[in-house]
Amino acid sequence: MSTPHNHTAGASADATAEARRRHEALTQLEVTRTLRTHQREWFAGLRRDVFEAGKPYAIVGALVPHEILQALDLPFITDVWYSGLVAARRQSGYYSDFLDKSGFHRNLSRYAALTLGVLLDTENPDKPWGGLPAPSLVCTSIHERSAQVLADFAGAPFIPIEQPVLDRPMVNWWQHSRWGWEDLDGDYRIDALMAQYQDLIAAAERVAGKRLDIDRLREILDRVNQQEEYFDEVRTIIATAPKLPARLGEVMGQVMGIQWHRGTDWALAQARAFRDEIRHRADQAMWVCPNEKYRLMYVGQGLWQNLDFFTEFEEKYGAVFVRSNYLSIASDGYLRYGTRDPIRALASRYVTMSEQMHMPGLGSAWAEHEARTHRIDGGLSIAGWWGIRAINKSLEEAGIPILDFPVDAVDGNTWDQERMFALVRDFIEQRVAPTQAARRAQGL
Amino acid sequence: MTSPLATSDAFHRLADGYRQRLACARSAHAGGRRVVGRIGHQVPIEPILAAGCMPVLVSADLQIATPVADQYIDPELPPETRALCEVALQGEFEFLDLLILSRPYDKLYYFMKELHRLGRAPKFPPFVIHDLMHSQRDAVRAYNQGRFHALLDRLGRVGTRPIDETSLGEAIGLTNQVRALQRRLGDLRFQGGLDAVEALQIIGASFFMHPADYLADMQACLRTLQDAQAGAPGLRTVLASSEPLQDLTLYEALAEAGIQVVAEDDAWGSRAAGQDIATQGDPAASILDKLWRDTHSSGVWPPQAREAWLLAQAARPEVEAVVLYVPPSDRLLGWDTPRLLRTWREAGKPAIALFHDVHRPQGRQALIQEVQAFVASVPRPTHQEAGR
Repeated sequence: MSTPHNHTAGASADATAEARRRHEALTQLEVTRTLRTHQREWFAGLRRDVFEAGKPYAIVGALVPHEILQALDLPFITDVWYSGLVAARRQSGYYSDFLDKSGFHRNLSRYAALTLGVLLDTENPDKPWGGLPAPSLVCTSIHERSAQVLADFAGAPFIPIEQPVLDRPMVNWWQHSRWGWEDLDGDYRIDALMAQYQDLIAAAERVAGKRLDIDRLREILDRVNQQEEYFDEVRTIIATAPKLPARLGEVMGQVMGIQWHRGTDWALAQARAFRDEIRHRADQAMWVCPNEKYRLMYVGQGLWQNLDFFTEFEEKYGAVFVRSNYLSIASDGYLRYGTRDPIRALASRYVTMSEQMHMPGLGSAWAEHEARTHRIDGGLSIAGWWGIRAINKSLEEAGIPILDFPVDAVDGNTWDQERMFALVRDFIEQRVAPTQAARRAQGL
Repeated sequence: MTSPLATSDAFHRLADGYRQRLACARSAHAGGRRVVGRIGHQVPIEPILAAGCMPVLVSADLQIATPVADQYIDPELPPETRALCEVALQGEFEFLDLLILSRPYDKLYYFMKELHRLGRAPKFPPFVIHDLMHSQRDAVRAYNQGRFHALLDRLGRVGTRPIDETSLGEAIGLTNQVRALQRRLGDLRFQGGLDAVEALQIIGASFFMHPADYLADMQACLRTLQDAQAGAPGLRTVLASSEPLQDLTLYEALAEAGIQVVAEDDAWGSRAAGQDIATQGDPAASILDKLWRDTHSSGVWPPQAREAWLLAQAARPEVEAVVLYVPPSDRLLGWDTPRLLRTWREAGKPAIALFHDVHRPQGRQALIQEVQAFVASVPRPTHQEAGR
C-alpha cells in the first residue's frame, strides 16, 4: 500500500528525515523554533480538547473572519494552512494521488483540498500533527467546492462566503485600505458580506454554545491590528536594510504561523519577538548571504512544498529571496483601523481579500510597487492563482524579469529537482544578471 | 431517417440565427435600434426589452486562436474567457450600446477593466457587470436587490423609453410566451420528436433574435414537429457539463457514439426556459426572483438546489443514462462528480463522467470510443439499433 512516506514523488522515510535535518540546520531565527514549539503544543491541546474531551471545532478557509470564532472560543483550523503542513511534510504527492483515486480529477485545485484528503483517508495514520477529527462546522469561500465535500463527509454544516464582485477597482488599493476602506470597498459590498457573517455567527454560536461578545471581538481586532503593524515593520526592515536579514522561507513560515492565530495574546507576543529579532539581525548586519547580489521576489504563491530549495542559490550566485505576498498582505490587506463596528471592519478586510493580490491591475500595481520598494532584480512566479500572467507581463514591461516556475505550490508530484535547479540557474544567469547589469550601467 | 425539420424554412431561419449570432443584433443596430449585449444567461432580457433595446447574448467560438488574450489571461481560466476577451479586443462588440457581464464572468470583467484602463482596448463597448449572487439564502437578498436596481438604472440611461411596470409587464408577457414554447419543445425531445442538435439550435436562436421575431418561427417549428414520429434511436441520456454547451461539438460527438441527449442541465438547452416569470405583483421583483431562484448556474448553493433539476430529470423512467462532461478546464463539477455518479449507480441508472476535451481532435476521438463502450454496456431491450 502506498503511504505518505513511501510515495515515489513524495519522499522516503530517510529522505523526509534528511529534509527535516537540513531544514533544522538552515534555521536562523529563534522565533522559528518557538513557533514550532507553539504549534506542537497548540495541536496537542486541540487534539486533547477535541478528541478526548469531545469539544467541537471548525475547519475554515483563509478568507473567513477567524476572529469571530476566536471571540466565541471555538477552536478552528484553516484548510490552506493544514494543506501547507501536509506539503511541508512532503506528503502532498501522496494526498493528491489519494484525491485522484477517490474520483477528484487532477485539474481540481489541491491548494486547500489536501485537508480533505487527510480527512477522507481513514486508513493511514501517518498524518501531520496526527490528523484531523471530524469538524462541527465548515466555513469557506463558496468557490472552494472541496469544502462542501468535506462538510458532507463530516456531517457538519457548511457556511459559504460569497465575495461580491469588485465592480469599481482602484489599482492603488493599499494606499486606502487602512483608513479609507469604506470608500475603497464600497458600502454595498461590505453590507453584502456583513449579512453573510450573520449566518456564520449564528452557526458558530450554536456550535460554541454561547453568544458573540462584540466588545471582545473588537479587542481581538485591535490586537490583530497591532500584530500586523509589527509585520509592517518587518517588511520595512527587509525592504530597506542593506542586505537580507532573514531567509524568506522562515519569514513566510513565521508570518503564516502567526496569522493563523491572529488576535491571540500569543500571536501578538510572537509577532513582537519576530520584529525584534529581524531588527536585531539587521542592526547587527547578520545577513543571510553576505555576498548578496541579486534580490528576488515571489509573484503569487510561495513554494510551500520546498521552502528550502532556493538556499542553494545563495552561495553560488548571491541570489536571495526577499519578498513574498504573505508578509506584505499582512499589513496592506489585513490592517483596518476604525473598529467601532468590528464586524463591518472585518467585512471590509475580506470583501476583496486575496483577489487584490492577483486581480489584473490591482495585483500588478501592487507587485510593481513592492518590487520597487524591495529593490527587486527578478521574480519567480508560481502558477495556480488566476491573474498571475497579467502580473508577470506587467512586471516584465516594468523591466523586471520573471521566471514562470512550472510547479504546483503544494503538490509534490509536480517537483523535479534537477529541472527546477536548471530553470532557476538559467534564469539568474541569462535574465537577472544581464538585466541588473544593464540597469546599473544606466545608473538606475 | 430524415428529420421533418429538414424542409422547414422556419427551422432554417432559427438555425441561421443560432449560427450567425450577431447578425440580428447588427441588423437592429443598422436600423437605428439600441442594442445591449449580455454575457451570461444571468443577465435578464426583460429590462433590456422594456428599455426599448434589442438584447443579444454575446458568445465566442471556443476554438479560435487567442494570441492577444493569451498574453494576459491565465491558462487555468476557462477557454471561453480568453475567446470572449480576444473577440472583444478585435472590436466585434464595438457596435453594442452597452455590454453587460454576469457574475460567472467576473474574471473576464476584471481583465476587460484592466485592458481598458491601460488604453489597450479602444474597441470595447461601454460595459458593466451585473453581480447576482446565486446562493439561495436570505443573506444575499438585499445585495441582489440593490444590484438589480442598479442595473435597471443603467439600462434606463441607455434605453429609449422608461423602464416601468408597463414596459416590464409587456416584456414579461413576450418572454413567457417563448418559455412556454421552449417547454413544449423539451417535452418533444423526451418523446423522440427531434434530436438534440436540432433542439439546441432552436433554443439557442432565442438568445440572438428579438423574441417577437423568434416566436413566429418557433411556433412554426412546433407545428412541424407536432405529428413527427419518434426517430432518434440513441441511448436516451441526460447531460450535465462543466463548460457551457454553447456549440454543437459535444452533441455531434455523443450522437456519433450512440447517445441521444434528451435534456441537458444547461442554460443553452433545457434550462433556458424554466418557469414563467410571475405576472402578478411588482414585475421588477418577479424578474429578480426568476433570475435568482429559477436558474442554472454553477454558483447555486446549496447543492440540493443546484442539482434538483438534474436529479429529477435523470430519475425519469424514460431516461436510460446520465453523462457528465468534465473536461480539463473543469474546476467545480469534478468535486461533485464522484458523489453524483455514486447516486445514479446506486439507483441503477447507468452514468459516466467524460474527462476528454471534445474540442481537440484526439480528445474527441477518445471521448467517442469511451462513450461507445459505455453505450454497449447498457442493457437496452427496446433499442437494439442504438449507436448505428
